[in-house]
Amino acid sequence: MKSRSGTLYSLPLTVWISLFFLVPMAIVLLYSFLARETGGGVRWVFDLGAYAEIFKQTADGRFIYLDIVWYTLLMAVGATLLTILIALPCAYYIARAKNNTLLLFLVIIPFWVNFMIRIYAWVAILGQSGILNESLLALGILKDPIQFLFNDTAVLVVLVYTNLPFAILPLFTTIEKFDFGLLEAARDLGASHTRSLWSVLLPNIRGGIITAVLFTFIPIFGTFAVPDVMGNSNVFMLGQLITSKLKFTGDYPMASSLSVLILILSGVGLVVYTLYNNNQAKQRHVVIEEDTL
Amino acid sequence: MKQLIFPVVGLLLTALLLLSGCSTKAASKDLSVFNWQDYIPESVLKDFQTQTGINLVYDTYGSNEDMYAKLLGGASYDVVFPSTDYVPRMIQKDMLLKLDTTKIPELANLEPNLAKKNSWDPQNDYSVPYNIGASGIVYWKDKVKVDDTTASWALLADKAYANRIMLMDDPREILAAGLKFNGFSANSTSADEITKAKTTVIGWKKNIVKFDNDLIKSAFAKKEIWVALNYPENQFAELEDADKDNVGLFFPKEGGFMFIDVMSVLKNAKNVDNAYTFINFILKPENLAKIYDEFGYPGSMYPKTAALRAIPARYDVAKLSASDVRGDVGENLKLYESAYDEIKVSK
Amino acid sequence: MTKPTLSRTIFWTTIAFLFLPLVVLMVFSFNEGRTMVWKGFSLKWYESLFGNQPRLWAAVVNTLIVAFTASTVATLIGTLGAIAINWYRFKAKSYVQALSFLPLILPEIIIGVSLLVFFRMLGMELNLFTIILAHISFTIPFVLLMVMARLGEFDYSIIEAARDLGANENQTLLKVILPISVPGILAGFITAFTLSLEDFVVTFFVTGSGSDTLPIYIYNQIKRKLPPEINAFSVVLIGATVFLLFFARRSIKYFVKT
Repeated sequence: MKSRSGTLYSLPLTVWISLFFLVPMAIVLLYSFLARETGGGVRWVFDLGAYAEIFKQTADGRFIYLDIVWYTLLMAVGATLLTILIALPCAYYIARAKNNTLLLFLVIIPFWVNFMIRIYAWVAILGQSGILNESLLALGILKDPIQFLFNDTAVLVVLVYTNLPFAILPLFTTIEKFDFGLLEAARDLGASHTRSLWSVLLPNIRGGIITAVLFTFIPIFGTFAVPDVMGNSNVFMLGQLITSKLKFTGDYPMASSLSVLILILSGVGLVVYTLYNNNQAKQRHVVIEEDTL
Repeated sequence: MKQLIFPVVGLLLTALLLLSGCSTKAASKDLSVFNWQDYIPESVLKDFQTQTGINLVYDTYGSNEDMYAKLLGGASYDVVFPSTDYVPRMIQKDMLLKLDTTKIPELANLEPNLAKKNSWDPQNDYSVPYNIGASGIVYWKDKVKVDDTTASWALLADKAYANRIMLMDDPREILAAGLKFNGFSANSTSADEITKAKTTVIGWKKNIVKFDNDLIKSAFAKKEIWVALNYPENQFAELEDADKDNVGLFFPKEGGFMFIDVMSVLKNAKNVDNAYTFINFILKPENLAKIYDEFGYPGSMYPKTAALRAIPARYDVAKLSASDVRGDVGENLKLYESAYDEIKVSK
Repeated sequence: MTKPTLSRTIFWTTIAFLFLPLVVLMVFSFNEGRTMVWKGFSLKWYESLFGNQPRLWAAVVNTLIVAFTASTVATLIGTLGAIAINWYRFKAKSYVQALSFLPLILPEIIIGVSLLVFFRMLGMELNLFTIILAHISFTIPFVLLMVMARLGEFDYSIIEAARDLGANENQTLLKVILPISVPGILAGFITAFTLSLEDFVVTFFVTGSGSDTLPIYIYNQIKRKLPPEINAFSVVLIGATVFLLFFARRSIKYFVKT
């Protein structure tokens, strides 16, 4: 077909993404190299201060902001591991069940109720005068209410909660396409149930796992509502830091340099992970063939 | 020609959207006010709307930084309520409208002595004083044993209250506590002093559940925490009536931070006349009395209101003799912000 | 074949975990008292929800305006773009393809930050309009993805058949390609609509005076005194969702499978 119509049809899209992705990101990159105007905004002078600030140390040599990056990374790894560990068997069960549309519905319905309302519900459950405490008090298990809110665990639980559907869906999609006959073949060849799942199913659904990991891992770098509501004074994540720089102290250059840092981290994570998995895939493939022989 | 339909429709819609955003409303019956949370009772706002027929858009913020950043970030309002330390900054940034005080006749009621102490805007060219007050420590009397007259900031370091303390989320307020505890001015511009204050606060942090301007109220009202550093009016507003007698309030003997908040009209205000009407309405003694009553402010800037008040003030401004009024620290604000970040990330 | 007992246990425990908050909201929406202590059955929060919560409903209206406008525009732009990418060659093709899918992998906060900085630089006021612009931007990639997935499974020979039968380019587009992409377009629209309804992060950055959407309103209230009516509201919302889901089931199935 004629290429002119192609240009025409793609024009709104091209214009829109240029104007609302590319230009804004370029501005963020630019701002990260400008000087800060106290109280808000930028001065149009080249300045590496916003990057130097990221590596700022306290008098006793601890990194102020890199510590936040590290903490965020740990939380992201923890939440992702937990999410995948729960999501895998769930997706497997759905894929093997007869009525899988219904089961998928069950997973999706809570995810259709507003994200904020779900967070609020967790506050109502975990709070000191929340359901959990009231039940434990009524049962006589507790004498005084415990504060379940305001700690890392509460943040982790709710992060897992909000991310589960995003992990279950891609996992289900790939597991569903998997030829379960392979599992039986492995069993026939003498592999245990666990072993056949581990070395036959897992390598074959690698794509789904990668997607699920990315869908869980990367958003946590930007999360701020969950730690803000559920965390305590020791929980301070990258998303909260950027928000406070941008919305509360008006430090545009540093908010920008931190955003660039997230961009780089997500980019590197993406590349390393893909490369690693490609490698693993090749190795695994060989192993299976040897096993079968 | 037909092949043009889709892209043209798409582009038209885009253009339409972009244009609709640029057109400004030519409304004279509107007013947008950007104010602190819990700073004017609903009833007064309702009275204002019914008496003047002006349609009010009313948004709130939790700190001066928040307000300032939002305004710089493009938010647009007619009236704001900055604290005095932000007035010089906002005047310098050309954000405030020079007021025509003849349009605010009620300003004549202002306590004359206050005008002498006014360092931020001596002639009230850009700002009209609204309220005076201070942050204080509120506590549950059955959980915390303390003598209000001799109590010190040291209470925050008391292990007996570990994980039962919340502080407001405000770099200046928190560092003011540390500064006053060490005997410095709350408006210090010395890096050494601010560092000492920071170390003090980091020492308290083990006991502190959270720095938060919202949660501090509901968590205290539910007795999840026992000690809170915040504006006492905001804390009491959240309490059930039955609990109010069970909650104490003190201002640390070393002194703390006090504030004067003002009303200003923004330079890019769309409804300037309505803004004057609003400010004048608020300053009417009967309305100010209602406001001070509702939240229990000490008042005392507009003497005429005293006779009209139904509820006595919760505390007297005289109690704040050791405290410093929040002042502008200019570029040194950076010192406060990075010290505060350090406090937040220290474990 | 052994029964997957372990995975079954984990699955149903997970479902219980996912539904726990919803059940809690549902039960306590009928509570006589204000708090999370059961004081007896009452419908008063439902009554008060519909009579006494103007700010909540204003936020709902804002949310719907944003979601509807943003997803409509995003669907238009995304569909056209998907058709162009799938069927035509044009100069900016690889540029468009690479850039359009970037927001799918980037953390949302990056989009929020960059748009806020952008709007601020242009001196734009933050209001419903900036929220709509932002929502169009981050939902376009999803529409593109859905429509392209549909076009991808499409049998090219039908087009050739249409051309052989004398249809010109526009006829082919209108009578063949568009009808066939409808499920993809619908799925794209629904996804865009849902994401817009849900969005907190991006909206938080680009929201301005008097333009709170529902997630922003709830966030602002969560730490303060959230009215108990919010429980009743959640139940109404769940009801509406299930109702809509029932009708949108076909498209949802499609969404799930792609």
